[in-house]
Amino acid sequence: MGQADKRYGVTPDVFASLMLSANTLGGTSASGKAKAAFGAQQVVDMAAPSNEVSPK
Amino acid sequence: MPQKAGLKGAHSAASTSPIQKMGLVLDHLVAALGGDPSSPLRRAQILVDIDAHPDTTQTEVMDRLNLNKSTMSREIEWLYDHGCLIRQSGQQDGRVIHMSTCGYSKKNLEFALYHSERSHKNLQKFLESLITMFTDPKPTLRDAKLLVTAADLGEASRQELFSRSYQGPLTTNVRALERLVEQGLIDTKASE
Repeated sequence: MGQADKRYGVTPDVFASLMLSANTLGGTSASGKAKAAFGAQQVVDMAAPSNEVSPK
Repeated sequence: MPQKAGLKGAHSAASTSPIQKMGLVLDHLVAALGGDPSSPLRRAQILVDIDAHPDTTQTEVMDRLNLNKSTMSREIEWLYDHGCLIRQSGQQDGRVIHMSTCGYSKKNLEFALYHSERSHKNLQKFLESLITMFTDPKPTLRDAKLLVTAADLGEASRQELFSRSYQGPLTTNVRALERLVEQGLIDTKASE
């Protein structure tokens, strides 16, 4: 197997540790903070503009 | 217009995953350290500590971060030579040198702080938690970014990882990735 054929990924333990590290940056998740500041409905509205045509 | 800026910030925050946020913080720290991704995470810790305590002294930083004198002196020289710090003799005792962050370093640290609730303490905890994940005694910002990128992509080829991480000689990135595999932080498997 050549080096270029390999796929790389973190182990589940490492992913969990990284998530804990991410939590040290702030008490709540980014989306949680946005929802707390502006209300869940507004956050949903910003993520999906009402004039956007959904794919069929 | 503050309200518009607030909404823009909230939208940006809402569309960034925690893992991606870590990548952004690392990017700002690299920018604060002269754009050098080979900087050790300890160097970033020293810079954050000095930013949190303007006019601090080398002894105070050493005590707070529990670092030895030779590491501390080497890192302080590096930070000063790269324009990250200003140093001034004390007014009462000229032998005591006071240090503060300045210029591009200070500005980029502010961007990093934006993602850590404007808390130096949070940023220090983040760096410490990353350092403890490595068995390598001197992990760099490049190592951390490769790890975060691998977590963000799920499963990726070497090329995909390198294109999303920091630019540099291929051999440097390959060595960094191999070290992460050796430390058991990244797994490999054959592509299907």
